[in-house]
Amino acid sequence: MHLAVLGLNHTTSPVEIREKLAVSNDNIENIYSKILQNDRIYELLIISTCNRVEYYMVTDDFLCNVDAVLQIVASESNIDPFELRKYTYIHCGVDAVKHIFRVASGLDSLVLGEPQIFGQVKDAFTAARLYGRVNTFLNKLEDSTIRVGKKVRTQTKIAENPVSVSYAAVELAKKIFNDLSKRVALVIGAGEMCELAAKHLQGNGIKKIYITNRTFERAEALAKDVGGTAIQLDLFKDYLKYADIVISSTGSPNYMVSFEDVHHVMNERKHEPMFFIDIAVPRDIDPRINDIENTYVYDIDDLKSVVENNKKQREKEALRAMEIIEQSVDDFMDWLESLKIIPIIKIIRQQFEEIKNSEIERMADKLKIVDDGELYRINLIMTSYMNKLLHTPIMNIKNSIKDGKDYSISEASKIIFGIKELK
Amino acid sequence: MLFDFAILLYILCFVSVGLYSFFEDERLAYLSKFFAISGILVNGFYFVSIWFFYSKTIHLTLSQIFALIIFFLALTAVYLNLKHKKVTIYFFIMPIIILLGIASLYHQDIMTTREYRTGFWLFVHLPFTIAGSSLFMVSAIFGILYFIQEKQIKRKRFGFTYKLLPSIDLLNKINRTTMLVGFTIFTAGILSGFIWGIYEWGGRIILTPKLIFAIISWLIFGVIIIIKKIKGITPRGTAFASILGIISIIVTYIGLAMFIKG
Repeated sequence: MHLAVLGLNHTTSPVEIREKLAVSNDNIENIYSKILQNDRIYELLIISTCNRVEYYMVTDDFLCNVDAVLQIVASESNIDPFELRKYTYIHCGVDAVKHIFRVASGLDSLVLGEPQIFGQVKDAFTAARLYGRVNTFLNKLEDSTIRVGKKVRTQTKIAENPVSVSYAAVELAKKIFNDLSKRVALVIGAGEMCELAAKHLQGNGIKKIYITNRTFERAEALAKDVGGTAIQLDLFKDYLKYADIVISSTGSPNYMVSFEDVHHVMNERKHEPMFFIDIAVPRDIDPRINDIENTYVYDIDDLKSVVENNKKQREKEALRAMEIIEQSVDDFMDWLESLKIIPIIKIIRQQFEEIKNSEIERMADKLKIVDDGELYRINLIMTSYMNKLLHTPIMNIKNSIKDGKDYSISEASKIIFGIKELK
Repeated sequence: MLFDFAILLYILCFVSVGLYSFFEDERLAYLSKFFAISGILVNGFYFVSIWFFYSKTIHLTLSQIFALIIFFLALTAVYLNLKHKKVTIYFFIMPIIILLGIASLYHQDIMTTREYRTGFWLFVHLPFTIAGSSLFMVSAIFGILYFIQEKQIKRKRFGFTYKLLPSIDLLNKINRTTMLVGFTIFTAGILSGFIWGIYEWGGRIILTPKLIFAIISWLIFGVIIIIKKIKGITPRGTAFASILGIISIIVTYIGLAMFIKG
């Protein structure tokens, strides 16, 4: 039995292809049922996010069955299979296990270490249980994947340092202000960057957000989106004294906030700190404001350098994460190997059980034992004797299967019966 | 013996919080909190044991005064940690505690006060003055930390302490709150000291160097607080003033106690 994965992601395929293959709530059941019509695919899991679509299958012949899945996927997405093959990758066995561990830990993500993928992988397993087929293999894989994902997040700092400009700005704000829920933000502009920053601020529980924009309707729309208040652009300077955080990203060729504006406002604010985040090019905030006591100005370059440093930190942490993954892959493969021995152990136990029963029967006949209570006690003693007899060989078989070596009969006998040295 | 054990617990607290700052393992944070609280309990029990078993008051040697300062510093650190959920606070206060602990070992025999009849007002004066001074010390520590963190954010160069330190807003809040509370307690200490002095010196006040410096220290903090209330002082100004104030306190209680009689 092998685990194989057929997939494509943001590094192997453009968004036009990924969006065609995306598995949504509408077509998930259909895709699962079509693939599972192949009775040599025993278990199936589909992970579909904006950056990847992957089909994990447990099969006895991965070469044939992966191709069969590719044909089904291609036909469902109206893409030529030969064209699709160019964008896909296939991993099998150890590599497939390692791949899903990397995916769940965010090491295969567009933003290294992003945490959302972990939840998406968990959801994919839930959907697979609902629409697909999950048995021993995928059950164990789910357990291991979740454990690895958690371990990577708790034992490394992979997801700790923000790597998006707007998120880094909000994290910096937390180093200036103790409690954002008591602070007011003023957002100048309603573009994508401002929207992201406003949403991050809202997510961090900011008390109030004022939004101003040249087109007032856009300010209103964003204000509605983030639960803020829209203000007219020509009035925004009146609100500066209330604003603890000012985020600006407009297309203005001149400074929107001047040194004099802030110098004047700081006295009114009784020197309460102010944090300016200037994401505009050309800049909206006079950089000299940073010279005023208790004001902090960060422009796009400052934030980018923070983000770059954070990315380097994450790359370092990714190396530590890979060590955890390698160890977990080894553990998983050991488990997989141990599965091979389970039928043999079952047969051994069955044979012993049969011998025990026939011996008890023979003894009962010979000694004329007819009392059920006495027979029950004899059975108990014999079972206990049998279990003790089998315990060491079975444990030794289970343990030695992990090392994957081939032994001679004499070596194997010594290992199985725990014989240290022949006298 | 008990005090040595308390110092050992504070050292362990510092070691665990130091390791926590590198490895960020929450168990180390709990451990440092445990050591700090245990240290306070043992430190407190040390005073109780002196009181019960030796029938002595706690103000006889400089070593015991250090022990009292250490107790108040640790108490403040634990309170700040529990209130603001920032275990790294220990990282900055424990070294001072440990240094004072080591210093106390070398000053076992220095008598800071003569064998006066221990009256009620002296009993009030000493702990209050020491508690106030300890809070001024915490205020000054947070003043220094404010400068460090502010510089890092202003210059956009983030060093090792950036992550360990809380927001500058919180540093400023702790800086001014400890100063304000310290001033209130210190005022009570100074007033009770005056009353004790009046009884002790037969209705007169003798302006000893120590008393003059105590009044100067009290005035420094008093003026800062009044200006802050009336005109407002920038956080940097508060931080600077708290450092200036603690220098005056050190001159008053350590410098003068060790080198000048009075």
